[in-house]
Amino acid sequence: MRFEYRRLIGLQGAMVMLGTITTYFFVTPQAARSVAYGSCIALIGTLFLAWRLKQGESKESSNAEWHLRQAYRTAIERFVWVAVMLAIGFGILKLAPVWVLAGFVTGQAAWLLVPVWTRWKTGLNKIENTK
Amino acid sequence: MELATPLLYIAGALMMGLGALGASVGIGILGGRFLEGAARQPELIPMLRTQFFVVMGLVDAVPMIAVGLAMYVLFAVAK
Repeated sequence: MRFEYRRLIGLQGAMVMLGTITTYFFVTPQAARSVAYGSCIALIGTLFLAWRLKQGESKESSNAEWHLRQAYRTAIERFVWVAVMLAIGFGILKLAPVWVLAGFVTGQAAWLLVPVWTRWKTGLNKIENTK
Repeated sequence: MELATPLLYIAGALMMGLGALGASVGIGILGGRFLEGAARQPELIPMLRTQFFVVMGLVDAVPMIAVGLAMYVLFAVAK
């Protein structure tokens, strides 16, 4: 698995645990369950994407069309996964919607944080190299 | 008051639909660029592919949050 994905999955896993523990101690155990559920939806989506990436790496086909087709399929599958799991959480499991959503947004925020983090680290390395 | 529930459903549908539209346009542009890059330098396909997947996840993140908000509106607020 590539470095970016390992970093992303690590960050998301940390966010899941931190969010769940914080909510457990500062809000209610029911809210913590909802936050864990929401974060796990985001985390499993990322793991799914990483698994697809690894699948393509092992093939190492030079056919760009095949890679593109697989990527589009993965995007659709992830979208359906999220919609179905959120519907199950809200509709069947009757979890607290605000907390499920908070957990999900926290998990997805890792996607937005990783490029910023990478750029920041690259910037720091450049500064160190110029010294 | 009677109009509120249908308006909430419309709001949820708009959030989901526009989110999906944004994601599809973004990923479409990304795919086009990936193909261009792959056609120019086929030896870079593995690297381009990783970057493609990372940026695709990034592009997908915001519409997915919109889907979550839409689900919240549809299941929690509209009831």
